[in-house]
This record gives sequence, C-alpha cells and structure tokens, in this order.
Amino acid sequence: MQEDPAVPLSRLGLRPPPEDEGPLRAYLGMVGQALDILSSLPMGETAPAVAFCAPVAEE
Amino acid sequence: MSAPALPVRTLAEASQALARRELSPLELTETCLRRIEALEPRLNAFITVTAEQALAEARRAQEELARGEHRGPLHGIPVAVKDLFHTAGVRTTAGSKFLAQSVSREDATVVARLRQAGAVLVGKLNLHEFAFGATSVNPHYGSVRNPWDTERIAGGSSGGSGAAVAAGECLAALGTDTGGSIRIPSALCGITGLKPTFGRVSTHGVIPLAWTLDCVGPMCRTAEDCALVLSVIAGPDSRDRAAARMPVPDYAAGLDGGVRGLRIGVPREHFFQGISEEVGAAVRRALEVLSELGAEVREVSLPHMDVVPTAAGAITLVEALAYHLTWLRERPQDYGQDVRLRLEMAALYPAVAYVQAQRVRAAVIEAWQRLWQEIDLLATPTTPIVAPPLTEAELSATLALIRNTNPFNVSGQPAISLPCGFDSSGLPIGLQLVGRWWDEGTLLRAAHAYQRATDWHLRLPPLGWDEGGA
Repeated sequence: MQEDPAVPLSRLGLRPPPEDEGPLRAYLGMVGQALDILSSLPMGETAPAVAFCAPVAEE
Repeated sequence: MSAPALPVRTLAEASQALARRELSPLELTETCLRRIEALEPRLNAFITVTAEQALAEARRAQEELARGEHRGPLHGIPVAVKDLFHTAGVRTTAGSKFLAQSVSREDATVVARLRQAGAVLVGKLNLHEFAFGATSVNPHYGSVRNPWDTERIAGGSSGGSGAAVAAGECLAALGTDTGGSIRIPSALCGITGLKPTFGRVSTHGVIPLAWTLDCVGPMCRTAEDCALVLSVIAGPDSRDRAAARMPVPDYAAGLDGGVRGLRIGVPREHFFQGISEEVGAAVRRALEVLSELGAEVREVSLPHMDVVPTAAGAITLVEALAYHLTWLRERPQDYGQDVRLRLEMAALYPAVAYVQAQRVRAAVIEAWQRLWQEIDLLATPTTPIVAPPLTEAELSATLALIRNTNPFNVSGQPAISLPCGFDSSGLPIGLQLVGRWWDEGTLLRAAHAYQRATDWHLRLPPLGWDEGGA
C-alpha cells in the first residue's frame, strides 16, 4: 500500500490544503521512480558535486 | 497611448550615440519611461517603475558625460532588473505576497556594479513567484504578457526581463537562471540571453531559488550587448563564496573572431525529441548558417541524459524547500498554488535522493568535460516549443520549457539563447549554444558572428511602434 503523502509532509510540520492532496499522491510514486533513476548510474565512490568549504582567514 | 520610438536599436548603438553626444541619457531615459507608461497596460513586465530615481540618475550621468567623465559603455543606459535583486530603498517583492513591502537597505552586488558603471535603473521586473516556474504567470502581480502576442506567456522565470527588453522599455535587463529562467524568456520573447558559468557572477543580494544552480546574467537584444553587460557584472565578490576568483576578460573585445574552425556538436539524444516541426527547422537552418560561416558542425552523443533531468528536478525542489520551509509551514495559503505544490512535492523526496542527485551531477560534469575536448560548443533548440497561450501555462508547459535548458544548470556550463527564426504565427524561436566552463567568450563570439549574418534579433514585436521606431 502506498504511503499517504501527508505523512512525510507532517514530519516537516507541513499541512497541505485538501486541493493539493490528489497531485501529491500522484507525485509520490514519481519520487520513488526518481530515486531509482538517480541510483541507476554506476558512480562508484563519486563524491557529491557540492562539498564543504572550511572557512579561510581574511586576507 | 502610443509608444514613442526608441532612437536606437541596441545598447551598443545607444552607448556610441551617447559618447558622441548625439543622444543624451535624459532623452533616452525619458523615452524608455514613456514607452513603459504606454506599453505596461498590455505587457505587465514591471512590478515597480522607479521613474523619479531614474530621471535623477540620468541627469547625473548627463552631467558627468558633459564633464568628460565616461564610466564605460553602460554610462547613461536605461536598464532594469528582475524583482529578485535587492535594491537599496526600493522594494524587492520576488513576485510574492510575502515580500510585497520588503525594502532592502543595500544593493545586490550586481546592482551596485551596474550603478558604478553609470547605468540608469528604470525599475524592477515581474517574474514567476520566487522565480519558481517557467511561465511568469503570477497570481499576485498579474501575468507577464509576451510582446509578440499578448495572449501568450513571456516565459520565465525572468519573464518581465524578456518582455521589457523585447518591447524596448529598457536596453538591457538582468535575470536569473536556475533551470533556464534567462534563456527561456529570451527565446520566447525574441531576445538574446546569457546564463554564465556557475560562479562567474555574484549572487549576493539575490533571493535564492536553489543555491547550487542559481546564476545571474544579462538579457539584451544582441550578443554584443550581453558582452558589454557581462563585463560589468562578472567577477569575484568577497560576499559570495561561490563567486569564483577568476579573471574577467573584456568580452566585447573578443567578439569579432568569427566561428571559422569552431567545432559545434549537435546532440543525438534528448534535445531534438518531441520538438515542434517549425522549431526544429529553424534550428537546423541556423546550424547551416554557422556551417557556412566556417564552423564544423557534427553530431555528438551527450552521456547520461537519461538521468540529468531527474537530478535537476531533485536539486531544485529540495534546495527551494530548504529556503521556504518556515514560510510554507506558517503561511502556505500565501503562495500561489503552483509554487506551493512544488514545494510540497519537494518534501516527498528522501534525503538520499538529494545526495544521489549531487553525485550524478559530479559524474555528469566529468563525462561532459571529456566531450568538450572534442567540441567547442553544443547547439540545441532553447525550447522545444514557442510561447504557449496564457490559458495553457500549466505544469506540463513548464516541464516542456525547461527540458533543454536545465541540463546545463546541472553541469554549471555557460549557455546563450539567441533568436533564430519565427514560426508561422510570428512567434520567436531560440537557438541555444552551450560552451566550455568559463568560456563565455567563445559563446558570445559565435552568437555575434551569427547575428552579423542574420537579422532575427533586430525584428520588433507588433506593439504599434511610432514612425521610424527601432
């Protein structure tokens, strides 16, 4: 059974209005597909494109 | 009310006329302001017009030029900025209800650089709410209308910038581009717009959509004008750590090199699929022109295009939600429905999806760097379709419009859209050229060569321009 989209939204303190529930329910399935697509590329140990930058002293 | 003609067609022409004192900043600014007054009821490109301030700045520029103090090619030129850039003392709404009365104390870095260069700010331009959409249909300030057909969208999110430049309400505008928001309205409104390399231009003082994708860039009638503006706004900024400490070339000085010997790749995958027949034909004709000018046009394969759009979507949505979370919790009813829904959709993504998307991005950049050893530029249609009617500006239209542009926000490469024709109903079509990282110069040079061989960029929308209007 598919998860109710209200559940992940409520974890973030969000309460979608009733008119958004249908589109969100439809989108939830697409998020699962998106994760599959993003994980389909063999990336080995590739690091994310954003990286932490340590602060540097002002010149 | 009829709109008075602009005495010049481009920023470069205006700059030369001002330098020769054939035209004054005050005369040029007054003409733009009269055009704004006459055309805004039909276009809705501006949220705020700063007429009095603009006239004062124009008088100051006039006095400086009379004293022989010339600050450069933007001195005395009427410009406008998307209402996402902070401007000292003038409200910055982001096209939202939340910031309707928000007045900044300082200018965004790029606005300060425009002022330093002597540009005259005539106002703040309408946009998609919080720049989060590609149509510029805005429930709070009204939709921006396309100057070529006011029943159609101008594209977005920098729709006001596209419409205002196309309509001659200003000679240059600044936009932002997170998934195509400079290039899409440029294509749909028949102007030239450049998304620089990520980090080329400071985003300090610009309300963010997605920090790792957002770029600031010029929207003008020609590539030459874009070069003049980019030279002013680009460069490092101690207040933006993402702004690279890279030297900024004189882009205008490098425009005349032509395209002979440039290797232009045309992708086999993705970019020509599902496009309108007339868009495809116009882009193919443009490639023939570039080939006749001496470029080597060849088909190439762009790796990972089955994954890139998904990465673009995940990164944009999740970063946007991070910025908007507090407002979305407390005042969800104050967003337009489309933006609220997109932010709520973002909340459905697990954290691992965002990290995977950023890893995909790193892998894509590595693969595409190899491809750009074999080519100098990539050419695609900017958008697969021409401007849709305002009544059809739904999520499906946005997804179609960003399809060819957002891959290069993922890679961070510079990309330009330039007019390359019109469809049978008279709507503009855009050609997108994509360059090597930090190589805006080659992009601008190729676009300039194309514009010297064609006149699509000089055609004007049917707005009842006065006799002799440019």
